Amino acid sequence: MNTNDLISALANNDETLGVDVPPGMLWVLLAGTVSSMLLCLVFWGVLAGLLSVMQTPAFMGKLGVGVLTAALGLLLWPRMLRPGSQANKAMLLVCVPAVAVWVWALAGTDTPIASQAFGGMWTTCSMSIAALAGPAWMWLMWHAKRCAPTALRQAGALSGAIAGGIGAAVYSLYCPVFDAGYIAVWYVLGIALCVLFGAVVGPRALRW
Amino acid sequence: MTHSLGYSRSNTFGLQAFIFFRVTFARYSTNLCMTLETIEFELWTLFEQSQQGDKQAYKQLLQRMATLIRAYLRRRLTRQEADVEDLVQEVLLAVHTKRHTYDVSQPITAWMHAITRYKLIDFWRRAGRLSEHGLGDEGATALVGESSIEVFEARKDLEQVMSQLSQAQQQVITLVKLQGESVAYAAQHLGMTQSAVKVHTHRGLRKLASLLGVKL
Repeated sequence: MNTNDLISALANNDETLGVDVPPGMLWVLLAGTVSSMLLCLVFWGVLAGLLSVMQTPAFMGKLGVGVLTAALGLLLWPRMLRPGSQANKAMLLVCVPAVAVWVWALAGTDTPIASQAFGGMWTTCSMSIAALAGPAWMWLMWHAKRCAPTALRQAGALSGAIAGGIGAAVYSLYCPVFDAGYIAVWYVLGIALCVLFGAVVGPRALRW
Repeated sequence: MTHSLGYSRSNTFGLQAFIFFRVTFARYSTNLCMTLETIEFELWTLFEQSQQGDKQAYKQLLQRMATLIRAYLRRRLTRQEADVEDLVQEVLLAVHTKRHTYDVSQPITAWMHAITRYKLIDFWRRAGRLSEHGLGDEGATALVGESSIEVFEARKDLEQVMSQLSQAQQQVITLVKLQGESVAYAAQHLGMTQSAVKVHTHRGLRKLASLLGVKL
């Protein structure tokens, strides 16, 4: 096709050459969270007596790690989807909840972290978080492909952080362990796995 | 392979793009008509008009962009002339389908540059040139960054010899030979007849050749 013909076709808004219309970010977030929750309900279940522990600070803290990581990631997300934009050092923002939970674990409890960490279902915790992040991550990829990220590795890592945060938040509805040391190790590791996965897969998955 | 002009990996993307486009397209001499600011203003105006449903403005926008993108890609794909036009079309298509990602508070030239650069790097990656040389993302940045220095130096040399031409000669050569515009466009733009544009171009090139010691 001749370039001038292409330009004419584009200018006349040829139906075959569609425009990518991105969904609103909140819809993506909602869809991602709901689909991760569904996955959790079907294969993991919900913590017995969830309603009674919901108000406790330990539960709020546990839920907060995931929610805050996802929220901070989402702050940077729209910027990442514009051509030429990068987050660079601002990416470190998503580490804040992880650092906070480590401070909480080190300063707030008397028992050593090691004795807290190897309890509950520590063998599967991180992997479960990563698995629950999956559906949310797919939605984020779907969103990003409709936009135009150019720093693909960064965008991939950020999508991993957001999805990991959602995964961790959803998993905390199931996880019966409330020790800060446990969360500091396995929750943070789960999110970190997602970030790593996103950074590795991003350049391929996000090509447009 | 680390390479730094100070701005290459930083947040100052707008500045980076500004310098690229300035180096590539604008101001071969201070008294020339097409500065980056006027390109920016022209494209931005056309974009705004086309957003309001003006198809003619949109067509003009894409045509102007095509010229700029082609010039940019030609410099970087010197031995792959055949691929340039394909890539120009790919970029135009991306500009079309991704136009919602343009933030009107930012320079439109920077946005266009980012898409063009992305597609160029993607092309290199597809062509396997990067994997051959074992370069990753950083390598790609360095490649583009490096060529910008070459362009910058070339520009400086060119500016020096160009300044010895008459103003009319400078103008037509910048438009026709450097920016790749048609003779008709230059004539209209400069308020000359087409044959005057051709004469000035011819004389200007002859003078340039003699200044550079090249035999025509």
